[in-house]
Amino acid sequence: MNAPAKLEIRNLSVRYEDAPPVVRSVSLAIPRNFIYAFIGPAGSGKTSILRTINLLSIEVDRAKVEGEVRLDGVDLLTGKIDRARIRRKVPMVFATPQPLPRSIYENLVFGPRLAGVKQRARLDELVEKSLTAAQLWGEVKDRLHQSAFTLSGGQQQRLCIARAIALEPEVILLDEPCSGLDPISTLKIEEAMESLKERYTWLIVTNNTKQAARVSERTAFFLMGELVEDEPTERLFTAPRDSRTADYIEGRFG
Amino acid sequence: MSTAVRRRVSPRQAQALVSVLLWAMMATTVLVLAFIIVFVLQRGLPHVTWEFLSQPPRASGREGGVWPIIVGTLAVTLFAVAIATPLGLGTAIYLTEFTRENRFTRMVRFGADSLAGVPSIIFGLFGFVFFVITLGFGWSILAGGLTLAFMVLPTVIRTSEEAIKAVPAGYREVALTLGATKWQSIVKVVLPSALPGIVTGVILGMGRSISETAAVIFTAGSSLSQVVPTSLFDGTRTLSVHFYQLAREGISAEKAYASAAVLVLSILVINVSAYTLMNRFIRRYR
Amino acid sequence: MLLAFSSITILALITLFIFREGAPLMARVGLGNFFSTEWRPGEGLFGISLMIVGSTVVTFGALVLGVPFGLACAIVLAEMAPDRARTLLKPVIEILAGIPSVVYGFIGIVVLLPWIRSNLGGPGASALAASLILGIMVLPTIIGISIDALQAVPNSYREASLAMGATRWQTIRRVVLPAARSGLVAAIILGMGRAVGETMAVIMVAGNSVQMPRSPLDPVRTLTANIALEMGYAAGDHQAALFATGIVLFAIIMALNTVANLARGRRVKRATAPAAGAEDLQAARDDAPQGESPPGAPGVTGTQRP
Repeated sequence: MNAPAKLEIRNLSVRYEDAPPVVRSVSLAIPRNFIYAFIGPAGSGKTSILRTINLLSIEVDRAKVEGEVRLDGVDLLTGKIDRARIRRKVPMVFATPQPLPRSIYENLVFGPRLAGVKQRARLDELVEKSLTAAQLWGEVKDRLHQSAFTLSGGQQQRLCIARAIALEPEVILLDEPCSGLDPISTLKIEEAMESLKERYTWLIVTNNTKQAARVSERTAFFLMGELVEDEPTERLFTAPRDSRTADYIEGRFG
Repeated sequence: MSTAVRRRVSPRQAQALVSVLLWAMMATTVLVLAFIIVFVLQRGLPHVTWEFLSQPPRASGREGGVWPIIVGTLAVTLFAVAIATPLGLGTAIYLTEFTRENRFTRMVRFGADSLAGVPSIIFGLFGFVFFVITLGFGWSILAGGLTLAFMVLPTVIRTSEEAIKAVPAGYREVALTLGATKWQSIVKVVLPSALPGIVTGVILGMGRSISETAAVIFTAGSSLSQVVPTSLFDGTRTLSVHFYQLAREGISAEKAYASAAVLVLSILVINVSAYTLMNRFIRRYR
Repeated sequence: MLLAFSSITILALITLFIFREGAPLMARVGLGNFFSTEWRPGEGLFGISLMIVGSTVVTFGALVLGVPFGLACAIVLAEMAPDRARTLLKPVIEILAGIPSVVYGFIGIVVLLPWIRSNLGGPGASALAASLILGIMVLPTIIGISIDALQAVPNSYREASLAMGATRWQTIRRVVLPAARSGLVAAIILGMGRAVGETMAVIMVAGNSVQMPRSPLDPVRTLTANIALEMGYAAGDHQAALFATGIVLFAIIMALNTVANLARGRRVKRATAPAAGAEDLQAARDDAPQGESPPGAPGVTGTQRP
């Protein structure tokens, strides 16, 4: 891992209102084109970290943040950042599928249009490529102009992933993307991630340790806002260094 | 506890009695409303002829029609809505999207609620002294429209706020994560989704403007003219004012009923369209 | 940012200008004159007491009619009607609210006044006529806010009461209504405000003579009527006196609105304190039948989920 990290987090602390910090001085580095998983019980701060990377926690949750988050070396937490542009590079897929109240096609071109893509041909191309990458093209290619709400839950979530891909991003953030989905949809999503590893860096927060084991190359375990352990996945799951990690993985608490 | 008295009428019987009583009162209320509407329409609609709608009034309204009055009413109403909508929508957007609940928002909400309770005659007095006299607009569509705009403002603020709040929070976050700025997320996602609710509020505001009398009599004036008003500074009599004069002076029963019928019909149309819009809005979000 | 201030600004402007026109007169002629019973503008007498009496009489008359019917309709719509009936009936109430006041007044003139004249005597145009018409006009206000107050009562209260064997009506009377009390009071107060502020309909049916009514069949003049009737031709001090009347009216309405909103605020706090319902539940338990078969509750419909 000699190449510079795609995403580097240094001493990140996040707190809301006057509560104690939910993220305490976390530092880690995410290499490019990796699939990286965050695991840990509820309240461990993993979602807060994710939402800080794309600046949602600051803008929407009114969090107070200290430390650095560097994308390709540039600190995102300084004042003079074009948030919209960053979010196009680092889009997020949420736990519950959130299609916009529009057609499938319109959902996908919403982001690119904002970025300035106007030609119909180019938009059509983006739509096809992103749906194919998300393993959804075959199922919807004949009904692109129907409302996105006509899709099933699993299909909607793949739509959300396609939406992120249509932005031609660099890092894709996933916040428990399969939590409400059936195993088949979950599998399809994991396959999509695997097949797209070369193009993007994936950061997935998951409550499902088995999923982390299946899908990621490196896993970080969080507990109560602290980074406990951060290892290549196989080593974390077979020979964790910290006893708390072992306890969590084996389900002694959760 | 005296169970003796209580056992004369069993709770089940009391329930039935009260039920009947309450439903009877409800029915009475509905009947009263139905009576009003039927009464007015029955006596007025026969006189709502094309001539009535398109001719200017003659002989103080005893003959002829109400065409200039209709134009004047529409002018005042549309002007009022044109002012109240951006003002009210802007306030609503600011309250919901740019601030948290704090002392300031509570103050603004108090202002809007209080304004909603101010009686129309006070608005009439205010409009008279402020628009007609102090700002020198005279009795005019301008003065009347501005006064009505102020009256209707709380309604627009309240319905717009509710419509915007009803838009699921997830939509905003999705828009942001796809690269929209805050303003883009509002304009491209929140407002389009809230539009039916907002439009409903505007339509209801229009309804209120049309029914208003006390506020317009002292601001738009009550002069009866043969000609259609051509500028914002022209005074005009609105339909409700005209109706009031006809009724009070006993000028013409026919024309009075006809005017009333037009008024009531407009209100019905406005309420029904506002209601169907709201239903489509609600159905969209299941 | 300035936009948000608009409602407060407008309120401030209204207050400012009304006071500016009316307050100097109140100071000039003195409160003794202003609150006397002599209203003779030509002679510099601007006593509005009889108008205050007129407004009071007519408002209370309106409440006598409006409160029972309003509460009844609210209870029916919030507690008893099946969903489909409710979606049909609520718009009806709203249309009632949208009818112009001049139309109400007109109906009063052509239907109510002759009826009063022939069956009860007197000139027809009277405090009674105004009370009846206003009673109908305040119904939507009272109904709307009462429905909100009733629907805000947590469903758990109703379920607990029914589970102890109370009938639907017992539940309403002993649990729901007391729990909604502040909101219902607010509804009535706001209805009062609406009645006090009504102008056009009142002018058309109340008779408008400045006198102390000795019976409901006597004509009265309200504060609102006073302003609207004379504003058309008043000048100088006379006009200022009308603005001063407006100040009094404005103050009354603001006071009523503030009290009503305070009452509503208290209701919110109460509904979130579960202990508050304890004594009401005890009362419901007392009503529960002993030894009777459990109520099959044939009329139980429309339990709303919050």
